[in-house]
Parts: sequence; structure tokens; C-alpha cells
Amino acid sequence: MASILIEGVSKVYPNGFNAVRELSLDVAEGEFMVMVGPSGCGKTTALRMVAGLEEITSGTLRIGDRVANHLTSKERDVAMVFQNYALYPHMSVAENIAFGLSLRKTPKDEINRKVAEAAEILGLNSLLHQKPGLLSGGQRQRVAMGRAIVRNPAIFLMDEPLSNLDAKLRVQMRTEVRRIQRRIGVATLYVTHDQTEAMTMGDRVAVMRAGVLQQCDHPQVLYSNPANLFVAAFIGSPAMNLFEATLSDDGASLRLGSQSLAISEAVYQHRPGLAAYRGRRLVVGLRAEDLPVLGSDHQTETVLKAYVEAIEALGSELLVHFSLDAARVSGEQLGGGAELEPAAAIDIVGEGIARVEPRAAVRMGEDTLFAVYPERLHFFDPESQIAVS
Amino acid sequence: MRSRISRGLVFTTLCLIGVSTVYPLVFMAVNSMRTTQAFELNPFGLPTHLSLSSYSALFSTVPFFQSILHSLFVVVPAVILATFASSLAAFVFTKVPIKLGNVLFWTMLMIMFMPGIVVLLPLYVEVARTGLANNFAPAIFIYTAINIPYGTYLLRSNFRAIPDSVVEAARVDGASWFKIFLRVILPIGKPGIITVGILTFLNIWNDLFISLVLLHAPNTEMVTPTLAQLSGKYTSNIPVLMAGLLLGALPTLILYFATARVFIRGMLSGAVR
Repeated sequence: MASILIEGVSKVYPNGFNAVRELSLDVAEGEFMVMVGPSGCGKTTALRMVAGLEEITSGTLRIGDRVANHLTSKERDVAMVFQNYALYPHMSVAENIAFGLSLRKTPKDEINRKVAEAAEILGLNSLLHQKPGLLSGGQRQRVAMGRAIVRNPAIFLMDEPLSNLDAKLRVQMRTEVRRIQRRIGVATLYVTHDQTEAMTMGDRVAVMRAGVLQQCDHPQVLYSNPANLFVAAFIGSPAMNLFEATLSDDGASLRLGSQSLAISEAVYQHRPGLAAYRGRRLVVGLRAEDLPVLGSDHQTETVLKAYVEAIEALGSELLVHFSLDAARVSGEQLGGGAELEPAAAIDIVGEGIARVEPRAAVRMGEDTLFAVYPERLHFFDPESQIAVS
Repeated sequence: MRSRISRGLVFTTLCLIGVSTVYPLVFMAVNSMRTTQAFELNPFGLPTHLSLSSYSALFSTVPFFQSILHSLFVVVPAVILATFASSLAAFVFTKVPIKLGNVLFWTMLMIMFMPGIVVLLPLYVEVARTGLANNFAPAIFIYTAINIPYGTYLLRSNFRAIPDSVVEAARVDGASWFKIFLRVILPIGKPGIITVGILTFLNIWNDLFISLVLLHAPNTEMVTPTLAQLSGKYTSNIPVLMAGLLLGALPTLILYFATARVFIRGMLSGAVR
């Protein structure tokens, strides 16, 4: 067992593409760290550098107390689960699991014992003599896990191991992977593009974008205190509603399209940095669940009027798609790393989603008043995209 | 409707290919059992009565069995060496990150594109000067070398189909490159490797020119030059020649039928996804 310490690691490919820039990340012993980000953000490259499958251009990688930059995968003592499982098709399940042990000249009876143990944990007992070709996707996934856990590796690496499973099995395997990891207690670096998977599985989650680490923290912190616009837009489903707004000169109200939201002194105490934005443009973020319909349960001074475009009834809640006359800031805009342009005209329509109680009084095609709690608003600098706190 | 027509077309084409493949064998088999007179009167006719006289004539005219032994003595080691070397080269070209790998590969291909006949004279001069003629060991190595580029070329495209992640999994499992080759690539690539082995076998077994240059003394002569002696400048005893050709092709046929099963079954299923 060991920890992983990544210090200022970069990867530049021979063609000049800079896949990972100055990544610093630490995974403690027994910790489950999830790296998440859109495709092409460098998360898999980072994982492969830790695995020893990709050379590190610059920076230092430590596994345990050893600098691992120039060690082979074998010397690093890592185990990895691949996205496509990468099983050896000509070997039985037992041989697949035992391969790493047999390469290390482990005695036969010890191999048998360990394989049986791993098969027990993963529920593969009845399949040990099958070839991978006859197994279902979920079973192959388990074999890949078995191959990784049987060796008692120093660290675990997983590259989107659940992405090829169907939705139901994926949810089930999430819990299972975590259960196994807790039982083994090995530092794990897990890569996924699915933010739900990241939030539900990770002890901590590292959000990557274009090769740069955006924020690394506990899932709840990422959700409630995103460090920048990208994290705010990426984490959470439905995504945070982001609109362009302007703070009034005296700072007492926030102009959102044609509406104005009162900003009390309490908000400035909560986010002292906001004072610097008096009379300036910024991006305001509202979580879908922070926009209840104004009514007896929710009475606030500050209200937002929006036009209800559509309602999705999920049983336990309603997702209300609304529009208002403020420019929306979309996640796609951010993914490309483009600068935010100032809203050109006032008649721009921005769309958003509110998550409300199933019995809330909303009707499609009507203007509805939503209660706004100003201290729950998120603010971001439109140029640097960094959160105002 | 269209699919029925196209299926009929495919079926007819396959039948024609099948007939054109099998017919020469049948022709050889039938005519080797006819007398010379019967053959010359009607080469494509069916036999009225069968005789094995051509076979006894074959064995008395040329040292047939001895030449088969000579051939096997050269071909078997050369096929094993060439196939192993081709597999190893193809593995390195497809899975091992080496500098200038592509340059090496294309250089090798250029050598392959050179017609074999071009090297015949230099080879003869070299063999004559160094006194390596009529010696089995040099012949084995020369045949091996000649057959490596083609085998590598075929196996390279074959090994490309093996997912890189399987090789990476083996690396992470702690296997050295050579262990990966032996325990992952060879078993997975078996169908392709056997195909290359058979093609190499055919290449060397049926070769005439290089064999004439390397092993031309009667006590080393391989089967193809031996059979070539049956075809004279002015006269040829066709049924005897047919008997020789049929028996000469027998090892190839046996090899094919013994390994045919491997082609049919894909070895890759279940590796990924």
C-alpha cells in the first residue's frame, strides 16, 4: 500500500500537443480519488503516466516514498482496470487473474489460494474455467477487477471501468467497486467523464479541463463552492444556471436582464470579494434546487419572474425549464476555453432549470415567480471565470 | 429480390473458385493413374482402368523419397525460424515503441518488393565462392532470411488487430516485452502465425531456382528440382510427372488439413468490451 504524489507533472507529445499541464495531485493511502472532466481533458493521459504506460515529460511522480518517473509499470507495482477490460482472450478467467502472479514466480498453491479469494470477493467462483469470450460485460468487468486486486498492488488505477456497462449495471457496480476498494484499502485513482459517477464514488474529486486541474476537493465542496465557472457548470445535474448580470453602483441590487434582485449586506458578509464588483458585470449562478416556487413554504423578499417553457415530472420532483431575458452562460462555451463576450442586446433569452416540489403551482406557458435566497447565489468573474468569494 | 440475385452471384463465383482450386488436383490424381498412351490419346478423358505403373516408374527414375527427405530437412527448420522471426519483428513493429520503427519496416518492405530472381546470380556467385553450396545449414538460413519480410508484412497487419490495451494490461501485470510476446501475442496471433507458416512452407517447398543454386548435388537435392528432371527438353512422361507432383504436394495438403481448424475459429473474441 502506498500513496500517490503527483508534483507539477506535464505531458507534451512529440507533435507538440500539451495534454497535461503542471498537474499536482495527491492520493492518500486508502483514498479513492476520482479524476473527472470532458473527453480530451488529459485525465486518461495523467492516469497512464502514473501507470508507466506513458512517459512523463516534466514533473515528479512519487508512489509511496519512491520517485517513480523512470520505473517500469512492474517496478511501480500498480494494477490497472482498462476501459475495454483488456482481458487475455486465450486464457480462462482463473488464468487471467493469475497471470500477474505467475509472472512474479508466486508458488502454485499460493496463486490458487489468492485466485480463489479474489473470485470469492467478486462472485466469479463458477466462472473460473470459462474463457472471456463467453462472459457478459459485467462479468468481464469483474474479471478485470480480479486481475487488479489479486496482486495486492501498491496503487489501483481505473480508466473509465464502468463506461461500457448498461445503465443499471453501472449503478450497481459503482457501489461494488467502492466496497471492494474499501475492503482492500489501496490508494485508487479513478478516471471518468461522468460527473455523477465522480460525485457518488470519490472521497475526493479532481476536475480537469484542457490538461489543467480546475479544483480538487470533496464532492460536496465542489458542488457548493465551485472554484470557477467550469466546475460550476460541470458538476451537478441539472447543471448550475449561469446568467450574465450587473451589480448596481451602490451594490444593493443585481440586474438580471430586465429584473433586479436585492442584494443584502448579509450577502457581502458571506462573500466579501463581491464588494469589488459594484457597478460591474459578473456571472451569477443559481442551483436548480435553490429556485423554489414562491409560495407559503418559500417567502422571500427577492423574487425572480420567469416564463415556464416545459415541465419534466420525475415523481419526487419537477424539473421546470424556464426562460428569462438575461444572457445564459453555457457549459459548452466554457469547455472550449472561449472568453465570455458581453451581452450584446437586452432582448437575449436565457434558459434555465429549477428543481421544485411535485405539488408546486407551476404551469407550462405561464410566468412564474421563483423565490431567490441571495446568500445562495454564486458569483463569478466574467473574465477570469474564477468564483467571487 | 436483389439479395437473392447477389447471393446467387456470390454462390456461383465461389463455386467457380472452388472448382478451379480443386480441378488441378483431380487432374493430377486421375492422370497419374492412367497409362501414357491413354493420356496422350485423350488428356481430359476419364480413366477406363487404373494403373499404378506411373508411380513405380517415378520411384525407379528419380530418388523421389530421398528428395522429399532433403526438402523436409530444409523446409521445416526454415519455416519455424522464419515464422518465429517474422512474428517477433511484427510484434516489435506494432506494439513496442521503438525509434525509427517505421523506417525499418519500410526498408524491409523495399527488400521484399525486389524480385527474387534479381538476387539469384549474386547468391550463386557468393555461394560458389564461399563453398556453402550443397550444404543444408546455409540453405536453411538463406531460405529463412528470404522469407522473413513477407511474413513480417502479413503478421504486422494481423497483430494490429490485437488491442494495444491487452499488451498494456500485460505490461501493468509485470510482463517483460519478451514475455508479452510469448504469452500474449503468440497465442492470440496463432491463426495468423499458422497462416504465415503455411505460406512460408509453400514458398520454400515449391521453390526451384534458389534450391537449384543452393543444393544441386544429387545427395542434397530437394523435391522440386528432382521433379523438374522428369520434364525433358524433348519428351515428357506426363503421367509420371503427375504422380510426382501429386506426391510432392502431399505434405502441403496434409499440413493444410491439419491446421485448417485454427483459421475458422477467431482467437480474439472476449478480449475487449
